[in-house]
Amino acid sequence: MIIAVASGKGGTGKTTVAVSLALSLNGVQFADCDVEEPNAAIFLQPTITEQIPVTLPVPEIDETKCSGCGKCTDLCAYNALIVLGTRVLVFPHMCHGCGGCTIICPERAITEKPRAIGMIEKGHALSIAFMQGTLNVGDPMATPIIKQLRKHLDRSKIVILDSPPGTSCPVIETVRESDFCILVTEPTPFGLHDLQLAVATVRELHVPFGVIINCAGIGDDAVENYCRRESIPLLMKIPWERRIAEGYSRGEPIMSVMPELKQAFINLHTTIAAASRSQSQTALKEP
Amino acid sequence: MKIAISACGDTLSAKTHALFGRCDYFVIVDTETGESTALKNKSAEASTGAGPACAQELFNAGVTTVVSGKIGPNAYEALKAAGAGIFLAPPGITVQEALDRFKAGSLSEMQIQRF
Repeated sequence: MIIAVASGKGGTGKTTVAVSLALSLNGVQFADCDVEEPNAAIFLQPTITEQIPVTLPVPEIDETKCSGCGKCTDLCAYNALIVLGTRVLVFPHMCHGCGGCTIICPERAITEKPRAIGMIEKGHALSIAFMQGTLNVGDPMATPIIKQLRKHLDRSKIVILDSPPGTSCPVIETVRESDFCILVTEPTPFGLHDLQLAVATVRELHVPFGVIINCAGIGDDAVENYCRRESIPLLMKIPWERRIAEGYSRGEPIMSVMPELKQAFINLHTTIAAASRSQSQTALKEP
Repeated sequence: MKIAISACGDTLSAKTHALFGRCDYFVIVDTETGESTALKNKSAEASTGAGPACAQELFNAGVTTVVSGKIGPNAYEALKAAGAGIFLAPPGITVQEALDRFKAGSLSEMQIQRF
């Protein structure tokens, strides 16, 4: 069973929830998919045993064969190459590695060479099989690293995916084909605004989902009202507590400072498993 | 010589645009005949690579000098590869004024320092 932990807004507590869930259950697989700045390792302190480089195939032009016909540039949706007369200029960091230009070139002037964009690391933390993807600094191609990470998922286990924030391609790649998505938000106008975007996204992906409110106690009750109105299950509330923030700033998971929350996370998994089985939002009861 | 000026409209009285790859139009002036034409920027809404795509369009239109507001590093690289001269003009003046300033030699040429 794959559980993705996402949010619209950044910094609402995705990693806090994902790490807590992983530490409350036995023998799960954990994948930090926030490849632009993976941070779950700070809390889980894994031992890394394997590093796998991730590359993208980018075009290389043989100018002696190129006729400058421009078919490759017409095809490329990302303008990763342009034709200037009979010269083709490639912008490798814009290339998504689809391989289309190589196929369409009538002169067979294009070959593909691998471009390193980041790395996947595997290891373990206690009983948790740990994985994280890391995108090279300055590189824009996060999605291919998440795609590679997904190939290492062990579906015989409970898999927890710590998603990037937002609603763009890397989030879609993380959340799609998950059995359940936890959307973490905070009870503020910003939290609600971005939650609505995230809800629209997971609905489009047809992934069952529910909401966790973090920092409950600050802000207002607009998020709760919204969830009720939309029949979205409110899975859990994590209280606004100074000692949680203090623990976080020391790299300590929530369980270290509030062990009493462990049972809540075990219950959370039970609720999610039931919801995912029924594959229906309406089958989930309000807590 | 053909000069392309990134603009918000398609005439000499249009305002100059702050950007290159995402501008609305390029007003192209042939300095020998004094004729001006406008090229709508098809790449203004492109997800990525608007700058290089514009550089390619202008190259195909025979442009050898570009006058614009900000020009990104990819567009810069593409324009340099196309052998174009690149000059910076402030946004919000008229295309005609930018052209006059270019002719008077008061626009600075863009140089990118690679680190």
